[in-house]
Amino acid sequence: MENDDSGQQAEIRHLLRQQATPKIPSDVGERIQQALRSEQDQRDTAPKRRWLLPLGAAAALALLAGVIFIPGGSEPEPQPVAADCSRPISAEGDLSAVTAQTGRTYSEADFAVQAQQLVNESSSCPSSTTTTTNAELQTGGPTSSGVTQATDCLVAVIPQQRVLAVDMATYEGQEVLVAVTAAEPPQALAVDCNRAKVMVSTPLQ
Amino acid sequence: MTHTTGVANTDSPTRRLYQDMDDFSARDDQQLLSDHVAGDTQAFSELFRRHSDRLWAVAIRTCRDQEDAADALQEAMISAFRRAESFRGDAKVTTWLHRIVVNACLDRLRARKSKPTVPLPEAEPDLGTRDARDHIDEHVTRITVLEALDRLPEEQRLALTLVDLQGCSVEEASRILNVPDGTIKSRCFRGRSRMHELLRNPVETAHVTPNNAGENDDVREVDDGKR
Repeated sequence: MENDDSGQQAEIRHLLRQQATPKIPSDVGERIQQALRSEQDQRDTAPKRRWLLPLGAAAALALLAGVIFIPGGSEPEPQPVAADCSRPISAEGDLSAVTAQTGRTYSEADFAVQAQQLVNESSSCPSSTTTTTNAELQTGGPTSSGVTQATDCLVAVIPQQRVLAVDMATYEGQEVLVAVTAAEPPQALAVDCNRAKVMVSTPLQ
Repeated sequence: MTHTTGVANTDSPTRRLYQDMDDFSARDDQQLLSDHVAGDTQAFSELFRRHSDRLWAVAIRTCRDQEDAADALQEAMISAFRRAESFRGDAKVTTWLHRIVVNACLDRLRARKSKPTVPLPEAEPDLGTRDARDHIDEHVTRITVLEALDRLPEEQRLALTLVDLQGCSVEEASRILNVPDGTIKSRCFRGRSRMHELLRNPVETAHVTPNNAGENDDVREVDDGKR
């Protein structure tokens, strides 16, 4: 009897082990990978939203006050920036007046200074202390499709903000949008549009 | 557990090592899970890709329905994605993933039991006619090993799926199902015996369904640390 049992057991075990592991259907696998990507996107944006909320509140207060002053820094000299120099980030908004395409390489060490320079150079609010002319900025300036893409990216990553200046450039070797938001103090952001995330955020002071 | 990679340290020596090796093969499962927790956006997808077939096999054998299995597997992977930080590392990552998948499937089975469906009536063959006997013979020859497995009680089916189909050790299966080793062994033994009967005489044992033949047919949850 025991031999019968062990024979049966071995036979069934053998039959089961012969069964091939079923392949996951490609549509199911893709669906789950898509769900994981969505989950990842949510995880990426959650921390950003946490700090954008106070950022947005600060920007709103500054706008209510009417004027945003860029506080003092080392170089270049701080310049008052009129609130109407900023532009709202929205799908319908036109950021062409504040968007440049310098192709400049921003570095982590000088990011705040370089972003401050971008604000000073902004064609919508030229600064008397700017060292780069607007004509220089316009050389190789952004195309309308470039501005549209930049706007779409900012709407997706930092909606409901106002920007003083935007630059299509590189940061630490990576193509980014550098955006300076009209907060108090203004914030310089490097936005990775491919991954829809803020790489770095620095106050301009 | 070491957290070596992440979005922020893309230039770390470890990261460069991975890039040099040109893919994820340098990282074992535990490393991938750690990297996911540390912020590596691709690590969990790779973990799923690596084990998707095995996890699917468990889901489809447990749920016995393609749509339910797909939903359960997706739910399980999202759950694992979110709870990766709670993985304590005292079992293999695959064991942990299997537990979550099994639980998601059992949740679905339990929900399905609470909403019983009424099957459409099927024409019963007249056993007195030759045609009917041919019908039975055809049925007999068509029953497969996996169909026999599907007819087992839940607990036996799960144990055999893990041990005999997936090749898990008894110890690993006991971790996944959160029962003692001896229970896994006895469930496997009974399951194989019943399968033997089913394969030898599927018609006479056809009335034995997963809901009336088990040692204990309650759908039990496996403690995967979630609850």
